[in-house]
This record gives sequence, structure tokens and C-alpha cells, in this order.
Amino acid sequence: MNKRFKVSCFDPKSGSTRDLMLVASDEAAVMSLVQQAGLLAMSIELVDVSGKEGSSPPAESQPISAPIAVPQPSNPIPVAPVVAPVAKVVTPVAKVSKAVPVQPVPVAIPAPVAVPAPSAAPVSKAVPVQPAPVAVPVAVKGPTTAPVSKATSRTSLPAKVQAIPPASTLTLGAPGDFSPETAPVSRKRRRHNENTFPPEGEVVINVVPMLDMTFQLLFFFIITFQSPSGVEAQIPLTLPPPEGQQEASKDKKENTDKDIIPTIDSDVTVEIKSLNNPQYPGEMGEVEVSGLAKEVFRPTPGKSLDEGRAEVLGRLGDAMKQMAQDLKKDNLSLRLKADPGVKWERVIQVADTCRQAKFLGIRFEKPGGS
Amino acid sequence: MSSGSAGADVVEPNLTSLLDLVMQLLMFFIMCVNFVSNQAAAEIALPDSQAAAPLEDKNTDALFVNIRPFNSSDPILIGKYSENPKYLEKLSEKFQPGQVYVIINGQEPMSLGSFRNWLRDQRSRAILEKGGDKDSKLDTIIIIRAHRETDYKDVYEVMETCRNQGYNQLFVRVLKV
Repeated sequence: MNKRFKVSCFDPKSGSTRDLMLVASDEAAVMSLVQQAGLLAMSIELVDVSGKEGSSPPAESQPISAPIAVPQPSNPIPVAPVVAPVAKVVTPVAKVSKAVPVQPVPVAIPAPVAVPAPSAAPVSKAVPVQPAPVAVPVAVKGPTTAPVSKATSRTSLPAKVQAIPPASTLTLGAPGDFSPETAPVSRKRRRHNENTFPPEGEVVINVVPMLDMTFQLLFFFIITFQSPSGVEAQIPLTLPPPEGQQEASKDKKENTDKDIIPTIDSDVTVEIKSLNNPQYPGEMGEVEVSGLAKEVFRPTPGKSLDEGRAEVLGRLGDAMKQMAQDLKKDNLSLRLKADPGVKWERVIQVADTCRQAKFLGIRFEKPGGS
Repeated sequence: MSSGSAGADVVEPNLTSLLDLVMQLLMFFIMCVNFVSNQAAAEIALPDSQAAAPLEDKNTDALFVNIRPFNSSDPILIGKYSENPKYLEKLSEKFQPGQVYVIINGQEPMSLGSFRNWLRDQRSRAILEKGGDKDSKLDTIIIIRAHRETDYKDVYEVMETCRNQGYNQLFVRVLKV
């Protein structure tokens, strides 16, 4: 179980004192850490963090190593401002994050230039003793409760960032000896910040909206697509004129010369007779075509109902096509008449057959008596 | 602290996916509404046809007349209204088995006789609105959607009714195969 320690140190190089937060298993470990950093520990105080972190339950222990701040001899930032923020760091933890925003992190400085990776990197194992240690290596490895460790890494990180911004970032990104738990955290932070502020010259294409839109369009076209089968279509129809005028057309029909090409008052009449079989109500029996030549199509006896109907329709279609050829006209029309009890489906089948034979105008006639 | 610091870092909820979903739902409901306002009655099984003309541009002024015989054992009727058994009950109270009824969008199912009366009222109202005389023809297109089991005489009666009321443009709907 790791604990948090507040350590007051004296930095012999700069001659100043500073406060540090460290996570270690015991005070001896803290001492060794401070010594390795080239500092002199003046006082060590155990800080109980669990009380401050009351809201978040302790998670399972995991080894965490806090990032290191590596000293940089040519660091332009003076030491004096370093001390002040560090003091803040040690006090309430929440204030730290506000006072020291994390944003300096992405401002990465080329790692290899500043610090040679092998010397700077070994964070978790042992903090290297640097020749000019202005900064504070805060590295602790070992099991600790999650909130505590997080708090530690966060507090120490901004502190370092403020103290020596370039170096700290450096070490974070350097290919070092980070424990696997730490590395993803730091990388994640970096990536996130890169997305928010894409570095110059780097083009980030966000394909998510495009994909969303594509799926939207796909869905739309699937929905609006109407399969070729089962689409409603329509047949324009003509009706006989009201009763009074019907007589006139009949007169006309009687006077019609056979040579005259039929109009909608054509002589061609197709009449569908009912089968008159109580077993099959509404089925059609024979089909009679009258007009130019009278023809009756009836199913061959012995055939089943469906076969017989197909046969009748086939022969009717052939005869109508032949008739259409003889008439040499594109838009032909006929009268269609059916027995009252014939199913609408059969009527449409016959009408369809006629329409396929170029008899496009179909006038439904009053049902004949059965 | 740990969560607070993360939250203070960047707070920007990603609204894109939410908006996508909302748009999707919106579109879905718009299309559903279109289907509902369709005048075609679901319980009509149209006859098949190969030579029928494809539908032209949507006629703004069209009246759909759906015709079918009542048959309480018809799987179409049962299937379409399995979630709404009251509709079937109402139908069976109103119509004899085998009797033909007419469905007009927005109207109760009616018999052929009441359809005739309804159409007459409709005509007189249309003439009042447009200011024509009694015998003037009407521009409204009548689209007849007859169930395939309907007797020819019943379909013809509907056609005749329409013609007698001055509706001269008639179309028969079929299923293109």
C-alpha cells in the first residue's frame, strides 16, 4: 500500500526550498527518491489522501509510475517561478488543476534533442541522477489505489509542467521504461490534444460524419426503393355513356362498316362467360370474341381449372394479336363484358391479355345476364 | 479530483451522433405519415397484370375507391387486422358475408348504396365550391382499387355510379408483375 508524502526539500544547486508530493511505500523510499534527485529532504509529512478523495471509491490496486521531470541545463525558465506553483500544488488538490492547466503538455519539444532517452527514461525503476538537477523526479512504482495514484500523477505533472515545461513533456513522450499502465495515459492525452489543436501541416480527416451521412442515404434509398414486382399500375378505362346515349351508339354500331377501323365504339367485344360451377364461384368459363369475326374460346374438356384458363387466355391472346395485325393500328380498343358473377381477377386477366395484344382502350360494358 | 480534473479538462459532448439519430427518426416518421395518408386500403389484394401502364405523376385530385367483398375468414382481413379485432367486429356487424363494401380514405366502410349517396354529396359539395352547374363534369380522377375476388357486377356498379355522378376519368389499379 502506497502512501502520499509531502516532502520539503532543499535544492543545493539553486539554493532554494520546495515542496513535493511523492507516492511511496514508506519514508525510506521517499528519502532514497529525494536523494537520487540530488535534493536534500528537510521534512517528510504523511498526507492522507483517502479523505480528500472520498467521492471516488478506491479501485483495484495497480502499479503506477508517475511521470518524471527531467532537468534541462539550458532551461530558460528561471527557478524562482517554479517554487511558487509548487507550493500551490501541495495544498488542496483541486486548486492545482485549475491553477496549472494541463494544456502545456501538447507543446512538445523534440525529445531526442533535449534529453538522451536512455538516461532520462528509466522512470519506474530508478530515477537517474542528473548532473544538473533542477527538476524533481517523481517516480514511484508499486501498487496503489487508483484515485490516489491518479491524484499524484496529476498534481505532480502540472507542477513539473510549470516548472520545466519542455523537459517534462519530453520525458513523457520519450521511449522509456514506462510501465504499461502509464504509457497509454500519456499518449491518450497527447492524442486528444492533437485532435483539438491539430498541429500545423497535419491534415486530420474526420470520416465519422461522412459515414453517418452515407448510412443515412443508404437507408433512404433502401426505403424508397420499390421492387419491380408488386408495384401498382393502372389501366385507364372508358365507360359506356349513360343510358340515353347508349342507344345511339348501338345504332351506330349496327351501321358500322366492317372496313372502318374500330374506335372506342369498336365492334370488337370480348365477353367473359361464367363457368357456372358452384364449386368454383367466380371462375370464367368460355370467352367469346365478337366483332370482326366471332370466335369462342373454351377450355379443352378434362383439363384442370388453371390449365384450362391458361389455355383460353393463350388462345385469346393469339387471336387478339392476329386481329390487331389485321387492323394495322396502334391504339386499338374494345368492349369488355363479363357475366355478373365473374371474379374481378379474371376480368383483369382478360383485359390484360387484350392490352398485350395492343388493344389498349378497354371499355367495360354492363354485365350480361347469366 | 480525478474525475473533476478530467471534466475540467475538456467538456464538449459530441452531439453529432445524437443529431444523426434524431434526423433518422424524423425521416422515419415523415415517411410513416406519408404511408398513412395514402388512400389505398391495405385489405385490398389487387389483381395482377402485365400490360398495365405505370403510374403517372401523382394526381393531386384523385379519389381512391377501394372495393372488396366482406369475408370474415379471409386471411388478408384477419392478418391485416389481427391487432385491431374491433375493426373486424364492426365489419361483420355491418355487412353480410360476401357483401361488397367500399372503403374511402377517412370514411367508415360503406355499402354500395351508401357509397352512391356519399358520392352524390361529394359532387354537390364540389360543384358548390367550384361554382359549376349541375351537369358539369368533374376533374377529379377516380381510381378504383378492387379486390380480386370482387364480382364483376359490383365493380361495374361502382364504375357506373361514378360515371353517373359526372366523374369521367376512371382508372383501375392493378398489381404490375
